[in-house]
Amino acid sequence: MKQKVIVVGGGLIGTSTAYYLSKEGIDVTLVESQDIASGTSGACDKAIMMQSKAPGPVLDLALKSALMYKGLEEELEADLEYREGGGMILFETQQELEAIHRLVARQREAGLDVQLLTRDEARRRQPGLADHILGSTWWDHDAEVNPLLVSFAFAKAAQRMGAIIRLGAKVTKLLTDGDRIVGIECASEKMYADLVIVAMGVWTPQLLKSINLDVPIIPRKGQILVSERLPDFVNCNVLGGAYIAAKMEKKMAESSNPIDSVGLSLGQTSSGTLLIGGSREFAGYDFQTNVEISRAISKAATRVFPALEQVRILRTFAGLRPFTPDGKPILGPVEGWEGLFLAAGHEGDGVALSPITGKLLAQIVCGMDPGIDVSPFLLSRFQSTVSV
Amino acid sequence: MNVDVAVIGCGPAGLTASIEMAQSGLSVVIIDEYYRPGGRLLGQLYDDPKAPVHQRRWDGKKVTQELVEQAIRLGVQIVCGVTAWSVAPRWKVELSGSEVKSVQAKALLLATGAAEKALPMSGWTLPGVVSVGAAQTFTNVHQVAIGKKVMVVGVDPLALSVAMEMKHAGIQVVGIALPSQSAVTGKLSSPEDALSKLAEAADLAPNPFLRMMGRLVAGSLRKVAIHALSLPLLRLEGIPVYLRKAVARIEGEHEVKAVTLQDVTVQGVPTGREERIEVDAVCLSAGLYPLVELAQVAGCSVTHVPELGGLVPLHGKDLSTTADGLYVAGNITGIEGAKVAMAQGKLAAVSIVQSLGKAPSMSKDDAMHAVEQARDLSPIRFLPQILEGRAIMDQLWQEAWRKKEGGQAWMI
Amino acid sequence: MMTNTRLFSTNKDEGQRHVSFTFNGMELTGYEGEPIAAALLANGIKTIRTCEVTKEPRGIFCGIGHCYECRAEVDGISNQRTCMTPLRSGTQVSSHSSWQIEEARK
Repeated sequence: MKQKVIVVGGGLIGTSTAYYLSKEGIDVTLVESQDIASGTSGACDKAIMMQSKAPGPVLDLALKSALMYKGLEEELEADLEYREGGGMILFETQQELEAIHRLVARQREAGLDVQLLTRDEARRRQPGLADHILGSTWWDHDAEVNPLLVSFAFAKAAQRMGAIIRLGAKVTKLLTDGDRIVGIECASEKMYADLVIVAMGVWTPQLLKSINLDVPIIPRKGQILVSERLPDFVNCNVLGGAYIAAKMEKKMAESSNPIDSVGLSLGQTSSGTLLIGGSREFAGYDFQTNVEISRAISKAATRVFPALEQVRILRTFAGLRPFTPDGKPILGPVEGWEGLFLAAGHEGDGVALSPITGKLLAQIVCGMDPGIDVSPFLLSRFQSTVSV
Repeated sequence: MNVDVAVIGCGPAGLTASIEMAQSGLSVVIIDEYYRPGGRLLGQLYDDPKAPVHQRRWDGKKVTQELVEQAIRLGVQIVCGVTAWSVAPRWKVELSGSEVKSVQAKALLLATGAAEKALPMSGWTLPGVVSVGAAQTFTNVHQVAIGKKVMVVGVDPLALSVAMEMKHAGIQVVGIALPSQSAVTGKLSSPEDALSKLAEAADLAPNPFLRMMGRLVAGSLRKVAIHALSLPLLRLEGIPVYLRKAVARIEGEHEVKAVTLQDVTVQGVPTGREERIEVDAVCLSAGLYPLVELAQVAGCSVTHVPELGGLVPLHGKDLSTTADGLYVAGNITGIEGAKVAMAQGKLAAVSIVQSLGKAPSMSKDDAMHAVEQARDLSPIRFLPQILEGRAIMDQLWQEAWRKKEGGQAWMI
Repeated sequence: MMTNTRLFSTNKDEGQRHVSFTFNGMELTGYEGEPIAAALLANGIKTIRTCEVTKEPRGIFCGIGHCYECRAEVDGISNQRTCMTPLRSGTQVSSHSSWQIEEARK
C-alpha cells in the first residue's frame, strides 16, 4: 500500500522533500500557509558556497548537495539560473588572514582543495577589489542559483509526480493518537497521513508546541540590499572574511549591536542587480529592515569594492534564518514520536542543502540506506542534555 | 535637520497644510522628489463651472505659485528634487539627493498623492505611448506635445479632460476610445460602465457632451443613454468619442505608428471589423491609486478600500493614523482632486497643531466641514463611490479603535 | 534641431534660457530648468533607452517619476529619471551606462 506523507512548509526544504518523496512513489501532500517560498526561502541570496560550511557533517552533506545541483536543471526541466562561477573569501586584516589560513587547512583536510590567492591574483579573478585587500581564498566549484526558481521548480516537479500542493493553508496542530502523529489540522480541516514531515523553518517550533516538543530553532534576522542593474562584474561568490573568521573560530561573542556583526556577501543576479548582505540579529519574528544596518552593509561593500560608491540601492529586505545552537540542521525522525520527521534549522545553508535534504528524507522514509550518518542531525542530540 | 513637522509631498495638500502649521508657529519642512513644487496641481488647467465667474479659470501653476510664496513668507522650508527613502518613528526621515541626510521631526504628514494604474495592452511599451497624467504634465507644465496625432485610450473624466486640454494646446486628438477586452482591462472596456463614469464629469465645462450624457445616465433617461451607445460616434468639441470601437493594438516597430480599432457590441465584444488609424502617440488612462509606500514603511496600518482607489492608510476623521504622530492628507487618503486635497491639508494641519500644544486658526470640526464643502465644489469626481469610501473608512477606524481600547493591537 | 513640438499657451513659465546639451553625443538645445525628457521630446526624440531584457526601445511613460522608463545616464550618473531631472547648459545625457567596476589600470 502506498505510504501517505504530509509535508508542512513550502520553502526550499519542503518542496525538495515533496519532490524526492513523490519520485519514490509516495503519496505526498504539501501544505503551505501562504505560497511557495514566501518565508525565509524568498529572502535569500544566491550562494551555494562550500567554503562557508563548517568542515564536518555539514560540509559533507553540502558537498553531496552541490553535486546534485549540477544536474538539477535537467532533472526538474527548469531554468534555475544555476552557475558554477567559483567563490572567494576576502581577508582585509592580518588577523583575518591568519584565521582564514587556519580554516583553509581544515578544509583541505576535509577534502576541499581551497587555494589561497595573493592580492593581485584575487584582483585578477575579481576586478574592482580595493587596494587594502591582503588576499583571498579561491575554490572553483562554489556556485550560485536562484532560490525562488529552485523552490518553484521542485514544487512543479513534485506535482508532475503526483504530489498535491495546498497553498494558503496554515497548519495549527499536529494530530496525535497516543505517541503517534497521525496527521495535521489546518483551519478546521483535519488531514491524516502515515507520516508528517515538518519543514517550516523558523516556524517549526511553533507547530511542535502543540505536542509539547521543544525544538531549538531561533529566528536570526538578516538584511540584504538590492542594487540597481549593473553591467556584469561580480563573477563569483564573494564573502568578507571577518564574519567567517569569527564563525569558524567560534569567537562569536553575541554583540548587542547587530551593526558590528555585518558579514559581507556579494553576488550578482541574472538581471544585473547586486545582492549585498548581510546582518545577523536575534529579533524574534520581526521582518522590519533597519536603516543603520543598511548603512553598515553599504559601508562594508564599498570598503571592499570602492567603485560601488556610485551605485544606488533600490530596496532592502530581511529574512529570518533558522538558527540552531550547533549550526547543524535538524533532520530525520523524532525520538518518542512515531510518524514525525523534522527537516528544518538550516541557518545560512538552506539554499545549498535543499536538494540533499529532500533526498535524504525520502531515502529514510522509504527505508533505503542514505549512505550518510544521520545521527549528528537528529533532534535527540539536543534532548540528551538533561537539566539537573 | 530638526523641525516640528516634516511634510512629504509638495502638492496642494502638503502646501496648504504647511501654511496653516507655520501660521500657528510651527517649524515645517516640505520634501518632494519632483524638481519643482506643486505636485499634480501644476498640470491642471481648465474652466471650473462651479467657481464664481471671475475665478472660473483654474490655473494650477498660478495656484501653486501663490501657495509657495505664502509658505516661504511664513518660513516654511521647501526642498525639491530630494527623495525621502525611509521614515521611522518618531519621526526620522532619511533623504537621498540632499546635503542634509535626514530630518528629525515631532510629527510627520504624508501627502504623497496618487499614481496611475497601468493599462497593459499590445504595443504599450512603444515610445510614444504615455499615461494620461504624462500627457497632462507635458502639455500644461512643460508645454511640449506628446505627439502630433494622439489617440486617447480610456473613457473617464480625466481622459476626457486631458483630451480637451491637448486639443486646446493645438495637438490633434484623433479620438477617444475604450481599450479592448482582455484579462487585465476588465471593466475598463465596458461601454456601459464608461457611460456611468461620464456622469461624474457631467459638470466639467466647456463640455456640453458630458453634461448631456451625464444627465442621461444619472436619471431616468438611462435607456436613452444606452441607446446613445449604439450611435456610431459622439463628439467632444470635435474629438470623436468611440463608444462602439475599442483599441485592440498599438502598432509600430520603433515608435508608435498607428492604432487598430475593433468594432464592438454594446457589451464590448468585438464584431470582427477592424480599422487602422495612423497616430504618433497614444495616451492611456486606467485610473489612479493612492501612493502608500511610505505609510507602509512607517508601520501604519493600510487597508484595501476600492471605493477610495485601492490601498489607503487607515485614518480617522481628523486624518491621524495608527502610527502616533503620523498624519495623511490629499489623494493618499483617497482620490478626490486638488480642492479636497487643500481642505484636507488644512484639517491635518489643525490636528497636528493641536497635538503639539499650539492653537490652530480653526477648530477640527470647522476644518472637517470645510473638506465637505470642498467636495461639493469639486468640478470632477474621479471615483463614483467616494462618499461610500469615506464612510467605510470611518467605520474601519472606529472598529480599530474599539479593538485598541479593548487591549488588542491595532489590527485590520 | 527644434521641431514644432513646442506648444504655445498662456501658461508658459517665464524667462527660460535656451541652452545646449548632448544626447548620445548629439548636440541639441532646450530650455534651462525644464526636465531633460521634455527637451528630448521637444527635439522629436521619443526613444530614450532600450529595455535591458528585451532590447526594445523605451521612452517616457508616466512622466512624473513613478515608472523609471525614461531613465538615462545624466552627467555620468546612471538611472536618472529624465522626466524629473532639470536641464542645464552642457548636460550630457546617455542611453548607456558608463559605469565600470575599475578605472583603467594606472
